[in-house]
Amino acid sequence: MARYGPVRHVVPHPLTLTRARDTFEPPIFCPRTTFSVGPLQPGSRMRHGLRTLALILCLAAAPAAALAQLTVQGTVTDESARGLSGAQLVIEGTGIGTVTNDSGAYRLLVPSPRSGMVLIVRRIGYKPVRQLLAQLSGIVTQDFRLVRDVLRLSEVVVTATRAESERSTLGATVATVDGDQIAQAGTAQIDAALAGKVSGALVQQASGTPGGGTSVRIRGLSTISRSAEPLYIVDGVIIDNSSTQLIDLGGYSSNRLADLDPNDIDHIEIVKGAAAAALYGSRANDGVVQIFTKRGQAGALRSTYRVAYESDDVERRVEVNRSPVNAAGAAVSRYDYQSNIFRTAPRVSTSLSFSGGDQRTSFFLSGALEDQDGIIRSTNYRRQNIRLNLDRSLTDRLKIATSTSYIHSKADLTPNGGLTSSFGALTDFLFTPNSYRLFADSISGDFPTAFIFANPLDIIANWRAPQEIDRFIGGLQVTALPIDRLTLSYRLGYDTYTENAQQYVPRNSSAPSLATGLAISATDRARLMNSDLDASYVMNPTPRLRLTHGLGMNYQEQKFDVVTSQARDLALFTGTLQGSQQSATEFFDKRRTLGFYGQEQVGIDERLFLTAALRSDASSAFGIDERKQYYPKLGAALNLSQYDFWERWRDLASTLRLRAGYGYSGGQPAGSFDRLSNYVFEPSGTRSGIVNSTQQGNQKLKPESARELELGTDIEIARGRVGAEITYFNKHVKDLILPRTITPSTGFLSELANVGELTNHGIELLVRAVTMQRPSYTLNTTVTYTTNHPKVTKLSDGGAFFIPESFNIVRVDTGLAPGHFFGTTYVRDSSGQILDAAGKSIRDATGKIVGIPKIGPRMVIGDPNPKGYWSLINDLGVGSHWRLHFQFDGVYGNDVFNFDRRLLESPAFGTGKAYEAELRGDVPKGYFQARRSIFQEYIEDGSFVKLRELSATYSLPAGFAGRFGAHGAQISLIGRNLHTWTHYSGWDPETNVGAQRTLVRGFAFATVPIPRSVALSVTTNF
Amino acid sequence: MPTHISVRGAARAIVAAALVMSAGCDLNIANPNAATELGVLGSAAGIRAIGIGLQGRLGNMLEEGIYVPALLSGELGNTNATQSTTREFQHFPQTTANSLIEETNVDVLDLWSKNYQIVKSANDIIGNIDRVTVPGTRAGLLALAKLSKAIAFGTLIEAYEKIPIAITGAKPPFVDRAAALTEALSLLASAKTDATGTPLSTDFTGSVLAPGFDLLNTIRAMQARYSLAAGSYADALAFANEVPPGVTSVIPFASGDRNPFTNLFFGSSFFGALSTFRSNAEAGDTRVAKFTTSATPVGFGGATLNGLNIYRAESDPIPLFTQDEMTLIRAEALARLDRLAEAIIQINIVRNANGLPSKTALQLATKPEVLDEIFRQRTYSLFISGLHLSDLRRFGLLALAKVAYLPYPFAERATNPNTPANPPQVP
Repeated sequence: MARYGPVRHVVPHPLTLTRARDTFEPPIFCPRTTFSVGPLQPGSRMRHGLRTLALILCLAAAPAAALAQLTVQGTVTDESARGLSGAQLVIEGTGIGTVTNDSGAYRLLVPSPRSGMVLIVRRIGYKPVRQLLAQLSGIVTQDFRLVRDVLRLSEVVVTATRAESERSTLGATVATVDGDQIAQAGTAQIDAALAGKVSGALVQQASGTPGGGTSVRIRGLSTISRSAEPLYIVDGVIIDNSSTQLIDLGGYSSNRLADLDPNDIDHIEIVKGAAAAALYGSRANDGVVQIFTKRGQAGALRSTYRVAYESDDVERRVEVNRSPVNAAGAAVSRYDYQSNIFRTAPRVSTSLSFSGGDQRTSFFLSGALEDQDGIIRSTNYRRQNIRLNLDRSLTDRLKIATSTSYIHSKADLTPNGGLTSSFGALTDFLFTPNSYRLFADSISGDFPTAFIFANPLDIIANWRAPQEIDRFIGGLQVTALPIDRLTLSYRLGYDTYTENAQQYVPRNSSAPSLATGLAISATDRARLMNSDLDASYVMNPTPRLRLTHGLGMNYQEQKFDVVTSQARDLALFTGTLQGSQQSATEFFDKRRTLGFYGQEQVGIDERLFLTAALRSDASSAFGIDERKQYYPKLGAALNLSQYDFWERWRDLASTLRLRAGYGYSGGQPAGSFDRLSNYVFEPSGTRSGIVNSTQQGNQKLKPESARELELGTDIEIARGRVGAEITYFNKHVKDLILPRTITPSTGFLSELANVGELTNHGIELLVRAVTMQRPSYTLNTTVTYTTNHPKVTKLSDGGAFFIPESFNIVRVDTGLAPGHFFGTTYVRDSSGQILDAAGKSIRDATGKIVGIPKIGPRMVIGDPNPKGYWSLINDLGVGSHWRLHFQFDGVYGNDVFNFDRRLLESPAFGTGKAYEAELRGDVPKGYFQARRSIFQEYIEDGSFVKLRELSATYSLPAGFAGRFGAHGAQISLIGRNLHTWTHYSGWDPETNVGAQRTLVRGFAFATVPIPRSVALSVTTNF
Repeated sequence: MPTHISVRGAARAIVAAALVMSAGCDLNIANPNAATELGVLGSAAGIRAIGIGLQGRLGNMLEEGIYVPALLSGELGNTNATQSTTREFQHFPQTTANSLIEETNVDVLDLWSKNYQIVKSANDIIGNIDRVTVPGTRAGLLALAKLSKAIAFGTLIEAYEKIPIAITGAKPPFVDRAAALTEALSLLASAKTDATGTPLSTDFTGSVLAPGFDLLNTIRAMQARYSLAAGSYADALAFANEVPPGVTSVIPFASGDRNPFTNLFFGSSFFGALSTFRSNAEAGDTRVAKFTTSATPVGFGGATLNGLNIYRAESDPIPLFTQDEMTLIRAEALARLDRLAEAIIQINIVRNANGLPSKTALQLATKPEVLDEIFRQRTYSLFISGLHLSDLRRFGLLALAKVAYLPYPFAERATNPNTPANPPQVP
């Protein structure tokens, strides 16, 4: 058991913002004497011949006069004496360090040893070890045996405090997901890969369309009117993750996180609530996710080549009507057009990366090609990524790091209805009786007109919806240590993209209302910029006390400009907006936010840690009267097991930590100009005039405000083999921005005001365990479990309301979960029997349905918010070559509004198997016609368990790989979403036609199911 | 290796760069999607543009301003196709306790709020007219604003028992019918002074005032209309006489600003004429075919309806007043001033213009008979012009209306403590 002695002081790692493990360039705190202008500067010394030495060492901070030299060497192993590669060895307080090789061996040259030097050994997943260097010259052999750290309490995280902090010092939880967990998840999308990896984060993939969107809800919903997605940061660059629906193609709108390549990810930090995220001020209400990409390491050039071949198909299909007659009793042929809509689709994913460098400069260069066909015919997605991450030490105390990436993606999609459109492959599969013959005429090529909207096969063959993105994300970071213990860090982040979405319905299409064609082209030009300055200063006024002062500022600007052009009455055989009727609209949004913060972290005896911070935010989106907003936070962590009195319980629990966090954060108004009173276009005849908008501006508009308390404990039992992180959170959001009635006789109708309130509270549990450990195999198990109880507690004077574009079924009301379903019901007697209009049961004594149900009043009929969700992940390592991995994800207590089933069994269409009952006469005529008006019928339990991931990886023996000139190679067989256990009757209980919308959740309407996929991947390291 | 880089210098540069970036941070970003209050009300161009927008609002208001009183007074009936928003109005044929119109009814709010949006735009012009320096444009805008405001109050007071007329504060007080009409008439008198005191600029008449909108004669016509409503018969007669024969005044529509009734009557087919309009008509009355067709759409709750025949094209203008109305105002004012013979002359002008033979003094021997005939002619000449409810009120025939007064909109009651109790709806 490694325990920290009282002499230890944790030095924030100043020259990088990635965690310590990501670099072996160590902290640099040169004694002040060496850092003066003139010939004593290290750089000049190097010119005099020490350059070769510096290839192994990081920069030397020793006095120039030092002559003695010490070499420390040995191996770093785990508890079963297996060598650990990639462990970092650092001489504390100097820049001297190295990493272990593949067999765990290391050799560290200390050019000017002094007494009192401490060697620290760190490796991810293991507790750090500190060793005082007793001998000051010659060669010392020092082996280390690291003890695993299942809770990763000694892991360094940076996002919550904007400075490096060990997890054990934080009062609020910060979750970390490793890059290989993302890369091995078998999906091209980072956020989809996060599903089940983190407690407290509900990850829902809205559509199985390639490049389709995924929503991430951290600790429930914190808003009604804004986007509920967390703030995403990539290497310090605030990036856009909006899901702008340029054209409604049916819950397809992808979120812009889809642009990142999972293979580039080093790790991801997830800061869940206000208690931890207060330093992000008015943008932190939905949590903060920081993605760190891989960076180069000094040493020989390394390259990794990965290629994956994947096959996707639809896991579940709906059963279709096979009745040989129609409602009129006439003989008909029936088709199952699902086979003409769905297909088995290939995906090829290739990535190549190079990394390397010397002790001054390192780089990571990667490129990736993603080529994926969708399971809906004629859909595909292609993405190309290039990334270059550069690190350069200009001097010992000045470092520049850049991250740049360019992304191009292009998707060809097929419309699938949506909340505002009735055209689509699956949509019109539902809206067309399957007794219609829909195939193209073999001679003319014309598709027959379908029932009411369009012929789904025509849509697949001839309608086009290409989407294209060009995106650049770049970050520059300068870190300086002007004096000892003071770290200054400046970051400039830039994210810009052009997204173009188009839709072409050709002239002579099978859709009666679009017979002359429709072309839409919408372009969103986005630009985000952030400019951050962080300063931290570490003090040790007494050996037992450590103070870290933090100060910082953060400036953000974001701009969006959407231009949508439309043409109707198209010329034949054209592919651009060539039509006689043309129109265009534009929407522009721009805002700036300026924030400052101060933070104080106090460590006492390395046992008790206190954090207090205050952030102030001013944004152009806030009303003039509410320009400045303040977000305080407090955190406390008590490592009880560090106290001596704990010895008697150490066998029971080797680690026990108690923590508490309390803080505030904000959510900015959705529209940058919502605070303004505007004058809008009002035509009179052919002239254009203006009048006041009936929505009055509100200069008191301020961000939504979340107050969160989280309490938790981290405990390690079974001699460190099992660790549990248990957290209770209670989040209260007030000042929710909602429309409020303005006295209409003033000439206005409404304003946006801070009127609503809602709460979320729940439990998060994370258990990591080394379930079995034998010499030949190890089984690691991770369990996450989250519950949440969301409730709206206050609304504006108007009371309950329906969410626009939700078919008037998704509703918000006080005392209920946000976005519950509200609709028509069955009328039942006291025993639960469904009644007809005469008040009689619709079933006879034998249980056969003989009556027609009565349509009852509208009531609350369902809730799409899950009561809880969990995951079970097992990793089995067999020998040194085999790794078996599986992950189950479960969501329970959520309802899905199965609009698909309503259409399938509606007599007007009747494509579903259920309708056979009426055609057979098992139910009275008119039964389904009546039932289709009872929305309660179509609320289904959407609980499910999915076998999310199942993979087997074989690492080729080093000698074998060496024959190809490779350091190593792995072959993996990866399955994703292989099976779903659910009572839900539709295609997929997970998808949502509302895509990433805040409140239209669990709404199934012709959404493309998430495919079942199997991939074979080969990774080679050179 | 670079030795010339000073870390402290770099540190200063970092701090300076960060400060410079944030110092340039202007938190008052203009909204290019819409004009701001400051920009519009602070410029002559803005005030002028409100003059155009105000006429657009007048045109929009006429939708509820016409069909709500037409439904309430039993001119129009709903077809089965009617939207849920007007469902409560569908119950009018059976006036029972449960068919009362609720405060939350969308039409109750729309009629109210659209008129007050007119008042708001008019006040925007009146309150900021000093920005307009060209005298002829200034006078025209002022006259237009005051006229529009008067029309708003005149329309409101026929449907609601009391209304606010001073809306400068957030919680406007309510006044009764007499005060509302007095305010409307005083606005019109002032508008007339503006419109006649300074020659209107061609910029105003040619570019602000809609084609077909006769400003001065509309002011005169409204003076006549509201004087009659206020019971000032001599004034009504005088004002109606000021309107020259043959003059018309309309709100025009175009493809970007469509006549709302085209869709309501022919697109969505929400309304039909109550069939009594046709069945009670005198033989030969050309107004029957002008306004209705012999089609019989299915009415809500079994009401017997006929098809409608006006506003078939989206560019059809809506008249602000008609010559028939002026003639009948003269007739009514004369009759109420006991000048029956002169009244009958006016009645016959209207009868003859609509294909009917003259009535003799023998046929219209008594004042009630004359007034009866005037009501009858108004019913046919002014069909679907929003005036029938007012007529029922003036002729003491309110019992024929489905509802005497609308309740005040819920949104007003919820936010304005001055909102009075709702008057009884059943006449």
